Amino acid sequence: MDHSELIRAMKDRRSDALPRFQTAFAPLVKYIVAPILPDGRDREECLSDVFLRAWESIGEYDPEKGTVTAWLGTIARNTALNRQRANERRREDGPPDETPPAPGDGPEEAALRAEAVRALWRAVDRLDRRERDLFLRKYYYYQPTAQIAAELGLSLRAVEGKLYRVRKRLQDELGGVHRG
Amino acid sequence: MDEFDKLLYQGAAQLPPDAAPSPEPPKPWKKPMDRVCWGLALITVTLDFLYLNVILPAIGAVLLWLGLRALRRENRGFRFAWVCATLYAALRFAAVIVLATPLDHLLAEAIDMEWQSLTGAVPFHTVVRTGVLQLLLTLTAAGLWRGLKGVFRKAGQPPKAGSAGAVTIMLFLLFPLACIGLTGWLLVGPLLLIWVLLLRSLFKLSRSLDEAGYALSPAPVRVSDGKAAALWLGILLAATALGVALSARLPLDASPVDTAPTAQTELRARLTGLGFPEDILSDLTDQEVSAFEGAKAVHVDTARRNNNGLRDDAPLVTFVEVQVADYRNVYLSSFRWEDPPALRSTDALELIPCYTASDTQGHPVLPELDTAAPIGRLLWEKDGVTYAAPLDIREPRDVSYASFFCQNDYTAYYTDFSLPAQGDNIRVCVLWSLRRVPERGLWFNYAANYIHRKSLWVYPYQSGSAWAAAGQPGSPSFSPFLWLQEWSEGLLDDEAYYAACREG
Repeated sequence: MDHSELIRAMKDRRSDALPRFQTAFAPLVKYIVAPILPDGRDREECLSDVFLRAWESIGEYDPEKGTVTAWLGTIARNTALNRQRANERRREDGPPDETPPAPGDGPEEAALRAEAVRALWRAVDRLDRRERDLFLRKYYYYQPTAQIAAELGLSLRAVEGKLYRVRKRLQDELGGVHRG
Repeated sequence: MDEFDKLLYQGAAQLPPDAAPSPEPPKPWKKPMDRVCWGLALITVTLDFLYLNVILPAIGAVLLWLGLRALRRENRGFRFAWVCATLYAALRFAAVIVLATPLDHLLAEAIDMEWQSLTGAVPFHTVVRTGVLQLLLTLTAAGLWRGLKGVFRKAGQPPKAGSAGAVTIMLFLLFPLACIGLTGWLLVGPLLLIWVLLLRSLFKLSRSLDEAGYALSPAPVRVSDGKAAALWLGILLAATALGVALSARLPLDASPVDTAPTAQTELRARLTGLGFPEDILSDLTDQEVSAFEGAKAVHVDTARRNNNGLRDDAPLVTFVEVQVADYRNVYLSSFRWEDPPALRSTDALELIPCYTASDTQGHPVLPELDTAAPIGRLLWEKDGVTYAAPLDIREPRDVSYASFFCQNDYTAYYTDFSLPAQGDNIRVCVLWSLRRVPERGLWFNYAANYIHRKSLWVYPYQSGSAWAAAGQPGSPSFSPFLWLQEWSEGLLDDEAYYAACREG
């Protein structure tokens, strides 16, 4: 499906662009948000947030850097995670907090954290295609093991075994960074 | 969730600072729809070599089933398609297994009805089986069509499943076209092109589902796809191999040879005196020897076929022609395995009492010769005891096939028999008599062809005699059978015939 015309319409701020964009991509956003936000009302609100953010930031979308589904998928995931964290904080502290999670305590820790993230993604890149897919589903998109198993046509036990091996491999590769 | 899990979640929550491209979201439709599309493509592929006409559709049936297994929870259309795909795969596999055994031939004989297509006669049960399979495949495609429409409807979008509908209609139309027996690239070529375009369109439709990321409610599975596929194909392979193995031998009605003193001492001595080979004569029962009553002359022709790869392991072939009266001869063919063959499976004999006949001018004449039904036995030694089993020689049949060089038309007798699993000095002996009609021909030849099964793997099932009657199809190197052709000329009547001509 060619979405370039739809993206152009979004960028040109045409009035019919957003509804069309929503119709085309609502299934994708719902699919990504569902495992992170179990509550239906949360999901509906998150859906609106995602399309609002997409409308606001469509200018930043660069087709050279990836597909629109990958770009929108990232927005949907991040929006859902922020909402989930806000919900958690609300449950713990009372008042809602829409600010993103606090970074490290200082520049040194921030640098260490950034290095750890780089090391993790480098290790993930070294996984084979199937292992990488499994990692992203589990740790990036927060999909439950049962959903992964059903979508990949594997038994629960098989997915757990494969995830165990992925974790073991990452643990071996990242031992110095994540254990130290 | 342990500490490392938490670290993985935290680490994965942030993309690397140097902004690698965002990961593509999972595509839940990709795998099932790819399998459905490839399944449909492979099922309809017919490549008649290396068993690809069996292997590819079998893999296709499993892929179709696996694809629809994942989708069956999505809506009723997919569920219906999955049930049909299950029945299709089961029936298709059953047909593959049955073809490894004589059951298919027995069924054809029991029904004894044929469908006349443009390319020739087809057993009626084969047409019915193909029809049921095609109907199930059409229903599977119809369920897929309905299921895909349901997906778009659920997403609040207009249904874009036209390609699945076209595939359904195409599958529906293929059966009557196959029944008519359409051949030739001018007819089949456009159909093939349309089919390829339809499948391409179905692939594109599945891509659009992927890209839009339509949510899927996949059915959980207890057995992983890989194991399920291995199970389907493993059962198919094991059952087919079992069918082939069980069909490799026929029952052998063996009994020790009666060593009671012969009542035909005088006739046996006379035959020996005329040159009848003693070892063959000693294998004959008194009843068989009585066929040579009145013997006037004996002609013996011995050969060892050492072509077609058997070399020195070939049976020693002996033709004996005994004139018992004017224009009446008794013929005997003996095949002796001095060293038992490497494979003792089911061999066959093809007897052609009159292969060609011509008159004094060399013009062909109709091979009309009075003949009594041949009789024969299989004999072998084991632990110093001679065993024998009668040959079940069937009613004669008219054979007609075109070879590269000529058209072959003749009447032949056939028998299939299993070689004994143990024992040696195996020999097959068969005899028949001819009463020639003098005015019908002078020169004629006859043949007794031995068909040795050299490979345990014969698929689809075919007896050696059926293979011979079909004109020994296939390359000798790849054929599971070895054809030992032996023919001889009828020699003993010439003098009597000339005498008759002179008198005439």
